[in-house]
Amino acid sequence: MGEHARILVVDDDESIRTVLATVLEETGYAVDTVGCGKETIEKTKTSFYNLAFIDIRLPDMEGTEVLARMKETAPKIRKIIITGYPSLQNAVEALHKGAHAYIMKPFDMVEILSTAEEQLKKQEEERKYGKEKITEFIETRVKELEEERTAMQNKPR
Amino acid sequence: MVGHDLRDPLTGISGAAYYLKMKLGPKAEKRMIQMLEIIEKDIQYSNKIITELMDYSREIRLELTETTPKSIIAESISLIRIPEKVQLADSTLNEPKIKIDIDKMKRVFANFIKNAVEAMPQGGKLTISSRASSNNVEFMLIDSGVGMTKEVSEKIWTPFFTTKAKGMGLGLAICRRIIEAHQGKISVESIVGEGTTFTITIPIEPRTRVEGGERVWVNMPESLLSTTTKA
Repeated sequence: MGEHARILVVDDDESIRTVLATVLEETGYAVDTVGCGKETIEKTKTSFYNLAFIDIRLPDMEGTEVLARMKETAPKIRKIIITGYPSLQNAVEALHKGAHAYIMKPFDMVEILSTAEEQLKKQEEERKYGKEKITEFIETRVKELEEERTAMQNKPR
Repeated sequence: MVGHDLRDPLTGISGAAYYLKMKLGPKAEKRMIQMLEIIEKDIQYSNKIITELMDYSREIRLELTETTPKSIIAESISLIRIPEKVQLADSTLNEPKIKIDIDKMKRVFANFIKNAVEAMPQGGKLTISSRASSNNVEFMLIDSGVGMTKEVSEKIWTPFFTTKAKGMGLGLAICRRIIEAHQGKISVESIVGEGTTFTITIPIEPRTRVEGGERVWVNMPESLLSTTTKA
């Protein structure tokens, strides 16, 4: 899954968008980039992404607001906040608003790649778990219906 | 947020250097790798400067936790590599119990210990002691280093003043802000060629300025209030 995952990079700094996209693409991911919160919301309405790197400070809105709005447009996406202004309050707020991880600028690309890999793995596990739960529910329900049918058939008329 | 804006270009440079190193691979010409490593090292140094500037300009928020003079000094010493030629005599006491922001005060003491070590390039002795006096605890750090002239010792708390070849001159200014945030004070006595004594006095329990909490906020210096924000 990791090699073909789709990643969205959200940062108003063009150099950061370029290097992140280049390194992520080189690693095998499909990458799109946007420079503001509004574009992020629009993009996630029309395209599917497994994961997003989101700068905490964007020109039109805070990264935490983007996180909150993405709950509607991309509920399954793994969200990683990147920040050049680290503080405990920022981290807590980001995690509270739905971020899955928090990385500080200037970041180490090795950390970026390992965090992406780790988050995609978690997403895959959740997907599998979800699938297993659905299968389990269907199997249980089928068994219950069969039992009900047998009971009905055996009922003396 | 100046720090955020300064870290953006560093992030771009760092990412580009990583990409080049990745593409060049281990077989690249030795000098090319060396140049890329210089870029990486200087990014780290620039980031350290930004962190210092931000630490100096941002408001200080204390998270008070109970500890002892001995414990805080032991933790601070563990952060610094003390050379063999420097003899360390730590006679700080286990009493009284004090309420301080451990992380911040650890940084303060580590800074003074590091400075003392650097003031004794030929070796010497660093003595650290503590004593309780009324509602305060007094820490004394005495080194037998090169010492300072009166002119220098009067300026050491001034932001951006430094006698070091590499350094922003914010270390001691940040330390003083942290001590003052604890409603404490610091003084220095120094004799050229004989050594320096720093005395740090902090209340056993700083008065909190927030009802029902253990937090203290200290406003940032007025000179640094005019920071720019991202468009």
